[in-house]
Amino acid sequence: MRKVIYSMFVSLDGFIEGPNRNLDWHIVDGELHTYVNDQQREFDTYLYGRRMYEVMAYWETADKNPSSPEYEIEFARIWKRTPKIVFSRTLEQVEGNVRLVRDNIAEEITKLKEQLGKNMDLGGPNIASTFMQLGLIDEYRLFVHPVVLGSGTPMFQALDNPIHLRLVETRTFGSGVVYLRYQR
Amino acid sequence: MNSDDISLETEWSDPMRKVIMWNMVTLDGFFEGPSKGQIDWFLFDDELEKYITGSQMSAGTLLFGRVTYEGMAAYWPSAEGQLAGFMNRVPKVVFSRTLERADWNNTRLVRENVPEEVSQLKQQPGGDIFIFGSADLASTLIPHGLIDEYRLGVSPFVLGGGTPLFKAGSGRLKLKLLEARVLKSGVVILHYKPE
Repeated sequence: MRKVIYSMFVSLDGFIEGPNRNLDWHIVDGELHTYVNDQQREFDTYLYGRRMYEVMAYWETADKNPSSPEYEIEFARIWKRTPKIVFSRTLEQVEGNVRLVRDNIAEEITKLKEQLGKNMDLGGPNIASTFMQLGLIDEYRLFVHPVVLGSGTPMFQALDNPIHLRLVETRTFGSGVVYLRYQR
Repeated sequence: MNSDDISLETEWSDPMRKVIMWNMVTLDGFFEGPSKGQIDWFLFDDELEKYITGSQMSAGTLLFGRVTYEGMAAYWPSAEGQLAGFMNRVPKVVFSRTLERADWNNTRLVRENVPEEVSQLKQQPGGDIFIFGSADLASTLIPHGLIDEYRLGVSPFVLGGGTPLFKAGSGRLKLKLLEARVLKSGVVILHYKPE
């Protein structure tokens, strides 16, 4: 069955954005980007909430920038052609290979999981919180950056009950980013 | 003493003591939770105990804020084993304006001038100085650059609530990864120093 994988770049103190939604602390060197690009082969769908989609929409045109490194252009190409589903009641318009879903998240995801296909990559802490409450996330992937931000947008929101996960893979990058992969 | 004596002393003395923060922490950044003092997610097995005793037995002093101190002082005096022996024996300092007395064996109570006290402690001879828990105390020391190493045992839990290890508003701290070690339990030990 297809899996939903919640994957984020995160600070040591658990934020996916710094104050003022700042992302300048992201380490996006060749080693990390190449690894992330390779991981995209595993997915045939991206799942986003509105806010994350608005951030990721950057990749819609990033391959047009001639001064972008090759690994960024490659990611942009992969991202653009991969089907995306955005879960939002308020978003009016989407562009590119995007389908908008306004409600019945549990039904929608359950249906998708039962279909044949590859895994689905989930991004965005607000939508992820909803998915977690509904028990829809199968795997968590944290790219832990060597920085404490002090405040920002947390990767994990409040839960009714703690979740006990199983570590299945780790990797350390030259930049000091540590990749931690957990399953339920 | 003249200046020649001082330089000789510097040559022979140990490098300045390191202040090392050690904590178990969850994926969502809590060192206790969801309720106050709750630590049943620690996954404390033989391998973790071996790591802790191996890396911390050389500690010369432990530093605490009041809340962590009170929890420790209620637990360790009646506990048994090698780690208990160490915790009860090692010199301890608790920083608090409100604590009336500090009765746990070998504890000194300090009421003010926290950064100065810690700075002075670092300049004295002795083993490494460890901080456990004590998020408030840590947030006082971090802006002064007084913590030399951060060691975190990342436990495979998302609690959804609890006490954050790094207090809000403490500002950005850039780190350099020194080591990442994976234990059989799924706990990942991460060592950092400030960059």
